[in-house]
Amino acid sequence: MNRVVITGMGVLAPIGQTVADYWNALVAGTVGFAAPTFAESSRVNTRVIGELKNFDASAHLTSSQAGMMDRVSQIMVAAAKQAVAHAGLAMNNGVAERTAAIIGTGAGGLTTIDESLRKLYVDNARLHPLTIPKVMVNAPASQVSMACGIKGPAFVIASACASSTHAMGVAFNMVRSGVVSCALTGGTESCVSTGSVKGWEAMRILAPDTCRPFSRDRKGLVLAEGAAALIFETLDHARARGADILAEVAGFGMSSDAHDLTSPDVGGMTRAIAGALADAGLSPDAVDYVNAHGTGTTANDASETTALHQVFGPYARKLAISSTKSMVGHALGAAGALEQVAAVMALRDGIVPPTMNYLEPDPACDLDYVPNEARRKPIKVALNNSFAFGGLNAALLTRRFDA
Amino acid sequence: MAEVAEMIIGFIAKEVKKDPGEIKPGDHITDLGLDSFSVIELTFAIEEAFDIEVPYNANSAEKFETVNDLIQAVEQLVADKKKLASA
Repeated sequence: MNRVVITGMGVLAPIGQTVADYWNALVAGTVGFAAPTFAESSRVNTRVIGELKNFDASAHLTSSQAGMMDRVSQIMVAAAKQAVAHAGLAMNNGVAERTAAIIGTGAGGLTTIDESLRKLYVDNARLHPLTIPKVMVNAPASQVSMACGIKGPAFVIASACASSTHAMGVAFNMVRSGVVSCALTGGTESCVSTGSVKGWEAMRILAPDTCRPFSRDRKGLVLAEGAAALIFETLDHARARGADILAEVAGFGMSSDAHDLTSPDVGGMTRAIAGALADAGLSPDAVDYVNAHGTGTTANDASETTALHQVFGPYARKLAISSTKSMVGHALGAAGALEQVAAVMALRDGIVPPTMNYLEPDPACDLDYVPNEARRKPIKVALNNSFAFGGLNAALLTRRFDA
Repeated sequence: MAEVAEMIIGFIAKEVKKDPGEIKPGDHITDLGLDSFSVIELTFAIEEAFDIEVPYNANSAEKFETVNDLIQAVEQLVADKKKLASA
């Protein structure tokens, strides 16, 4: 079995469109929500959302490339290019064939679906010939493989809000087992279109004000768009090419609830987290920081707290836990990857990003959520939780790499 | 507005697959066997039937306790809408 390390990262989030900007914004407690500006947004009731403001596709893509992609692929390719450049990974000497692209996304090309169906049903117009290749859910993986010259296994993993954590877990296992030497992994979501937001409004779980994870008066989640990419590679491969190693991937766990389509299940969460610890061969008290799923819904945050109590026992009170969704919003299929970038930076800098918008403790959420202000703390091991609608759970453990 | 009560009890009966006669106004909503999804579907059915918006958020602390609480809230929303229309 290979040791697996992270050697590059890229990110496009509502609070920053480079890793440095994103991390500085998280540490500063910047909340990236504003009124929606997408097409036809006057039709939605939601007044707070996390959009990628001023995303300029032409800064990352040629006009013919951008024209073949829905926004969900454009932002993924932009993040992927950042990560490849950051890793200094050149796709030559057989590297391309030994590199995978494993991308998580929840829903695919929603903006194109919205625009196309409007043209069809409202304007009685014809659809663009590239409608299907823009909408297909595998498009982000295909576009990344073309844009970065990756020729090994490439596909999309879809498990709603856990998509990119499942993608990172699969990429981890492929690199660890030697199927490939490197993997570009992560996830993308661009769910801030009128049709998508109306669907979320109908579920009645969007917050009217802001996202307040683990706070007593939390009122739901805030939707966001974004993408994040990470380069996983074997330790040997990274050392051989003299790469800068950001962190080591330690273990991965996953489970399904077989319970309820939308209500969270403590048992499923517990099995995923305990599975990651067992996979890493780490005892619970080795974990210093938890980047929580922490959506800001009543049910998730209470269930996640109970799951952490069950897995970590009395040590749960010593964990520093934060939900960066309080600043970024919930980017669904991209959330796990966005949060993994935060966890890697926390390991490197010894800083826990805060849970913003926190007002007062909830008896059902009685742990240390690092409220409203970042905290210095040496972090050796970080846990990243993702729990999806449909009862699909994933947990990834990373640790500091000390050569 | 007896028909509002009758319709709401009918919607609930459909969600929990019971005869409308088995559902009493004093019944607690949580005891009827409505899961998270059927509550959302019930709210949607009520909104469609009466052309109103029920201010229900799954995360809000205000929940309707009994079937009668729900009926009264909907009757109020229907009355408000009529008032608005005639104003």
